[in-house]
Amino acid sequence: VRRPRLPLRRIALAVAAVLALTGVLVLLAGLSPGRGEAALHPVAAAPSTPSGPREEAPGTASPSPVARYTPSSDVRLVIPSVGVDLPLLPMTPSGGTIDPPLLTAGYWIEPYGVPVGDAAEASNTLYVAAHSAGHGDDGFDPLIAGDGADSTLGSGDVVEVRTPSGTVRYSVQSTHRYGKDELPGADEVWEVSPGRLVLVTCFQRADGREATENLVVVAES
Amino acid sequence: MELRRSSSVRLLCRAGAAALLAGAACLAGAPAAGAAEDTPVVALDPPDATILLVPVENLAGLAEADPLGAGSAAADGAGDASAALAGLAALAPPPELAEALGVEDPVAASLAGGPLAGAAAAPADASADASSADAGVAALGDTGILSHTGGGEVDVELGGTLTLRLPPVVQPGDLLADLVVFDDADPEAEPRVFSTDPGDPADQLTVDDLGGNELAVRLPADTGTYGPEALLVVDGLTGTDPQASMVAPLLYYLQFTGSGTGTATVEPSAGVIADVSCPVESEEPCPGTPVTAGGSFDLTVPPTSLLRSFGFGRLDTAGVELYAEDEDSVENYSSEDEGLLTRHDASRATVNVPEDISTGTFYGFTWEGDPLDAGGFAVTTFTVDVQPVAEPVAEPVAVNAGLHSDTGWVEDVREASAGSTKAAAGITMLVVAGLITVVAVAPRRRPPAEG
Repeated sequence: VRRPRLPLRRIALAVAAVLALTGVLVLLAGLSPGRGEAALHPVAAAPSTPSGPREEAPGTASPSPVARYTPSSDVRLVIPSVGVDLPLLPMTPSGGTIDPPLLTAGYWIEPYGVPVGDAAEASNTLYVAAHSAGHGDDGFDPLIAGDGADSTLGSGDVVEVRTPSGTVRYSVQSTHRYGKDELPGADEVWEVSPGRLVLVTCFQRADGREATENLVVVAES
Repeated sequence: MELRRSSSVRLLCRAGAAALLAGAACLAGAPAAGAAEDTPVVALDPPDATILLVPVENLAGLAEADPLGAGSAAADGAGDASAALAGLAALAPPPELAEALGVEDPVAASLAGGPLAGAAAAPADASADASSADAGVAALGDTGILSHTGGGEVDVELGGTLTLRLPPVVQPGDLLADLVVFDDADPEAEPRVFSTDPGDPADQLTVDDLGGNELAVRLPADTGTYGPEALLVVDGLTGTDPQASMVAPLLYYLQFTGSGTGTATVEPSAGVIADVSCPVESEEPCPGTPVTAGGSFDLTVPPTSLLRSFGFGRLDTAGVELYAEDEDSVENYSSEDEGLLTRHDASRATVNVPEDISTGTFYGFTWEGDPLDAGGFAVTTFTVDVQPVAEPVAEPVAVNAGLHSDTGWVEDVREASAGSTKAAAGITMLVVAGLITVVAVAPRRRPPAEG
């Protein structure tokens, strides 16, 4: 007498079918291109050392949209000509490298110049750094020309630093590109010059490759 | 002594003016004490002065007769006083004559074409080419041009009288007068010299003190073959101010119009020649005040300045001139140049040194008044050493510590690994499913039959 097959076999086959189906889906998901929900994070180029608050930054703790988290600040950097309006936060570089924790904010570099309500109160050059991703409108992306060839800012463009005690208007004097290894030694960038504003970002392109140059915008109040 | 005559008044004017400036160069002065910390100060505070009497009548006639000479100076922008000074210098006797007359004081020496005669271009003829001035100086030095014939001589009569009214700043003192009469027929001939201290009694010249600072020069009745032109040299005058006791010899060119007993009266004006710090007779060169091209220096007149006692020393009206020491240069600057002089008040003015001025020594002088006016004039010399503009010392620029900038933001590389993980998991799931399927569908093994 032929014994009927056990239900266990059917169950096993059913499990196998589910696994196979799931496996196919997972495999397809793993092989599919695109950003998906991938997190964005800054490129760490040698000799970069991650700055302090990196681990606590929501942008790196979980994928987007947390990466688009925008902090609030009563100090803002506004560049009307290119539509930049960023909250400004203080940042003390670690290991001699500016590496802002967020894409969505600008950072004045301490212990150099701080935002003031009146240019006459400045005691040092004010350095503001922000990331650029090579696409979109985050950070200093609007400062990079679409073709990645140059800056969108030119002589005479106005940059405002707004604080609760007042707004200082700076006028762009020049833009420069420096190799990443050249920037620390570019004395003209690091001169103590009260009333001067220096914007720093990477010349980041959208292809995802690490930037090899920094963009520096010099403005005077 | 060989003397010749010429009627080239223009050359005389130019050369004489150069000689006058050279005289100023001889007297060129030193910086004043008490200079401010930042702006050099030249204080017009001379220790003494020389009185220079100007034969006004000669100059007036000369200017009228020769517009290219003294008169042209004003047209050149040097001003009336400078023009008159140039004309005055044109009356200078040649060196040989000055030497013969015993004229040795610095001013007279300068008027006679002194050692630095070629050192400066004439202020009255600054625009003239250097060769003309040089030619004039050469004419003075080499040929001994004597006369300024062409106008300006004072007409007198043989046997007549020349009355000399002296300005109050001088007095007769130990007077010595010479009347040099030229031989018009023979320019190469030596002139005849009548003197209050003659070598030959036949050449006696008599000068009477009329009182009231007036002198009467009795002119000879007969000069033999000499004439009609003559030169009167009056020496030995002294200043009434102890600080200005030296008086340069007074020179008057005369022209005999005939015989008679007429009286001509002349009234020279008086000028004050001084240096800001060196005594007039100082033989040592006076140091210059260091100034900077493009910078400035102040001229001041202390309240006790000797110039004040003569009624001068007013910087609100005084003219200022600067001349390069370089004898090959015609570089000069005037207060009439826009921007050179900034007047503050009567006691202070600022000289704005041009940025493109040559470096080296510049002789400067201030001039006041009018040599053709009874009020007289004053010339005060000084020297400045123009230094090149000092290269600005760059202050060290404070530089912040340079930083690297890692401000590029790209997609996380972990995304790629996450995809790989998913792919691996999917594959694993498929493998497991396959195994389960294989196991599930595989024929079960029967146990071997018993027995």
